[in-house]
Amino acid sequence: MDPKEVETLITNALEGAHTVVLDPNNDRTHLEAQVVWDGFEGMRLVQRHRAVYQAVQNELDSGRLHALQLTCLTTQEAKERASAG
Amino acid sequence: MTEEVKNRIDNMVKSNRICLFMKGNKSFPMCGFSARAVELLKGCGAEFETINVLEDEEIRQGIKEYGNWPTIPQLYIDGELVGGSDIMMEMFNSGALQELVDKAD
Repeated sequence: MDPKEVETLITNALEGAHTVVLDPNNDRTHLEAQVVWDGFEGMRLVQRHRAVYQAVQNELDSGRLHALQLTCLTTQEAKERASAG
Repeated sequence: MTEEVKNRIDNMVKSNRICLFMKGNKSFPMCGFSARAVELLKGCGAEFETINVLEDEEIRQGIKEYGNWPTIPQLYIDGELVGGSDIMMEMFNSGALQELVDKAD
């Protein structure tokens, strides 16, 4: 599916999230998303990913989306990661 | 998911401290993500059990509901869902996966 469509689904579900979705293999089914959202604060990795997966549950169930590789960060973590290079 | 399937999965995650639900098995993973999950666990020197969901359609569907997690592989340690292959990768890189494995051994 269109990475832009996935971006919209995630951003609509997680209010205030900054989402970038890429299609590194150009196959439209194995996508990669980086989601920066302060709502992740205090959540374990498994809970963060669940929150994002819920936004695309229907697409995963139907097989339109086969896999979504995730990086889920808070604004602060994203800054730290950017400055670490 | 039926009660019977739930009980079967319960039994699998409780009788194996480190338990990986995957496509294929340790020697022949049938999916790149499952292959990566196996390599990460081996990289931690973990003793682990694998369950091939391709051999059991009930488990394949049931585990998604059981873990409230939409994809396979799924790693369980001490009965708790740790995550799928990208969480495993991130935790491997930070050393957190090694820590969990050492605790489970």
